[in-house]
Formats: sequence, C-alpha cells, structure tokens
Amino acid sequence: LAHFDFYILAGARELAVIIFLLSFAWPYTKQLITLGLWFAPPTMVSVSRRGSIFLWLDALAKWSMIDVFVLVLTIVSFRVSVQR
Amino acid sequence: MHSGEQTNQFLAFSDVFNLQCWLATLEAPALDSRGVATGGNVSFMVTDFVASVVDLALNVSCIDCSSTRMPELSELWLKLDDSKDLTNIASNLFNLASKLVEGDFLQVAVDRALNDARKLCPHSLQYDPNFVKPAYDTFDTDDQEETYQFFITLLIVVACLGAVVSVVILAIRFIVHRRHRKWLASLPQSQLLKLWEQQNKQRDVELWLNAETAPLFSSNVIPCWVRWLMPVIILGNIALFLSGHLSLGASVSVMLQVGGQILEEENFFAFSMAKSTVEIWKGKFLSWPPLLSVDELIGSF
Repeated sequence: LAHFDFYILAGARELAVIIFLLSFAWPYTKQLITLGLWFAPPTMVSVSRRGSIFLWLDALAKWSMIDVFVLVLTIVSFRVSVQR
Repeated sequence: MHSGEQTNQFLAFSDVFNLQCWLATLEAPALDSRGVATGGNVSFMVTDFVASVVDLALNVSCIDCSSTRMPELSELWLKLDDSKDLTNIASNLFNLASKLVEGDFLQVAVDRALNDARKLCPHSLQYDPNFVKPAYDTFDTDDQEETYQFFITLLIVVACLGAVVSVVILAIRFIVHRRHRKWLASLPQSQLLKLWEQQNKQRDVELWLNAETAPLFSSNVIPCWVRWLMPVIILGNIALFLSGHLSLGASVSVMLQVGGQILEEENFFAFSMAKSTVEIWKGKFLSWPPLLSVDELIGSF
C-alpha cells in the first residue's frame, strides 16, 4: 500500500492519453471524416482513395470501443463487497 | 520531544494559564515565505512518539436498537476480543498517529505557532494587539514540470516509433520496387507494351470516373432519402458520443449492513468519461489510498 502512489503515478497518465485518443479524439475524428467524404467531390478525393479511406475507417473504428471496455472495467473495480 | 534554546522571555504570573505565553518562552525559528523553518533551525519538535495498546476490549450492549440482529453484533465484538483483532486495529491506528505527529506537517504547525505566540502573549515585548496571522505562500508542486517531462518523453517515444515505422515502410517499398523492375526487365517487349496500354486505360478510366462521378451526397445512384439521412445519422451519432462522454457515466452507491441495519448512500461517487480522464491525468486517484487504508484496517479483522 505504501507504494500505491508510485503505481498510480507510473501508469495513470499513459492510461489517460490512451483513453483520450481512442475514446475521445478518435470517435469524433472518424465521424467527421465520414461526413467530409460524404460531401467531398471525387475531384478532391478520388473514388479509389475514398474507398480506401472508408475501408481503413471500418477497420480502425473498432478501437473506439475502448471506452466501453474502460467503463466496464471501472464498474467492476468499484463493485467491492466486504463481508464478515 | 526536543526543545532548543530558551528566549529571554519571562513568564509573568498572570500568564500562567495563557498557552501563547508558555509558547513565547521558547525560541521561535526564522520562517521563510511559506512558513517553514529556514536552515533546519528547530527549537521545538516531537522526535519520537510512542503509544501502544496491550489489550483492548470492546463491550457493546444494545440499549435501544431497531434491528433484531444487534445482539449478534455484540457477540461478534466479544469474539473479536479473543482473537486480539481489536488490539491490532488500535495498534495500527496509533502507528498512523505516530507517523503524523513525527512528520513535517506537525512541525510546520508548531514552528508557525511559536512565531505567532510572541505577538499574542500580552506581556511579550513583541506583543501586537492587532496581530493578524500571516498568510504564507502556498507550497509549489512540481506537477507542471512532471507534465512537461511526460510530454517530452511521449514525443520522443512517438518520434522514435514514427522513425522506425518510416524506415520499415521505405525499406519495403524499395524492395518491392526493385523486384518489380527485375520482373519488368524479364518480360518481352510485346508484353511490356500491352501492360503499358493496360495501365494507361486504367488511369483514363479512373480520371473519367473522378470527373464524372458526383459526391455521394448528390449521387443519383443512391436513393434521395439515404443521401439526406446519412449526414443526420452521423451528426446524431456525434451528439450521442458527446452526451455519453459529458453526462453521467456511472455512479457508485455504498450499502453498509451493520447488525441487520442497512445504511445506504446513493451516488456516493459519480463520474463521467470526461471527468474520469481529467482526474486520472491530474492524479486525483491518489485520494483513494485513505479509503484503502480503511479497507486495510477492516481487512485486519
């Protein structure tokens, strides 16, 4: 327990960065890219490139599910029962 | 307990019951702007605080209880006496108190009190009837510096990773390009011509496609209602994400059952994704160790 502070300080910021990138930044980024591609003319983004971007978005979109993962982990962490 | 030099301050008989005057008889260390003794000068300090419990017994008897299980709780306390668990808990608490008493927190408070005492004792030469306790500077933390160091480390790691990935990509491209050239060199002239024509045609088709194809929003191939519905869905999705991130994500309720009596605290701790991330970043999860200390005490049962 004496080293609890150390463990938190050692790992928390990396966790915060991961959550911020994958759970906050990425979902909005992918939505906005999709919206942009929906309106963008092929002279701006070629048809083949558009298809390629959509495929990449489809593959990488799953990473935004990390917020659900974190939320479930947090809920499980707080589910503490002490019995005597 | 250690006490340093005494001052030339004498204690008047009328001040016997005045604590400030007793404190004024002790040498007050010089303080810096934060109210901390400078140069390690200490005139009064608690060097060692020892307290121990040999045996602790707790006898709980119910005088007026609504719960029918309170007698069971009394029996439980009696059982704890046998196992010396209560004595262990009391020892743990005294150890915690010892650490607090011998630590810097109490020392700073003592040093400040010694400095204030001279101004508060009526028969002191430095007595000031209008004395107001000084406002000391707050203690600086090196959080900012840590943040910068962390960002610099993060940038270096990302830059190194980017450099490695770039080198790998360039190497792969170079190898593929060299193989492709070797393959082209092995082909006869007629086949090379056919391949060149085929590539030109493909490029023309792509250029034509880009020139003639409309954006997805105005494409005639896609039904009109889909064209209009898709942006609405995307914007709605963004709104849902915003709502999910900013509103209540989860809440912790505490339900404590003591002797059949239920004590419930709804929404003991509520958090959202955005709030949690900010708190993790600020390291506010450090506020949990006191709770874990309580858990540790309970665990010693």
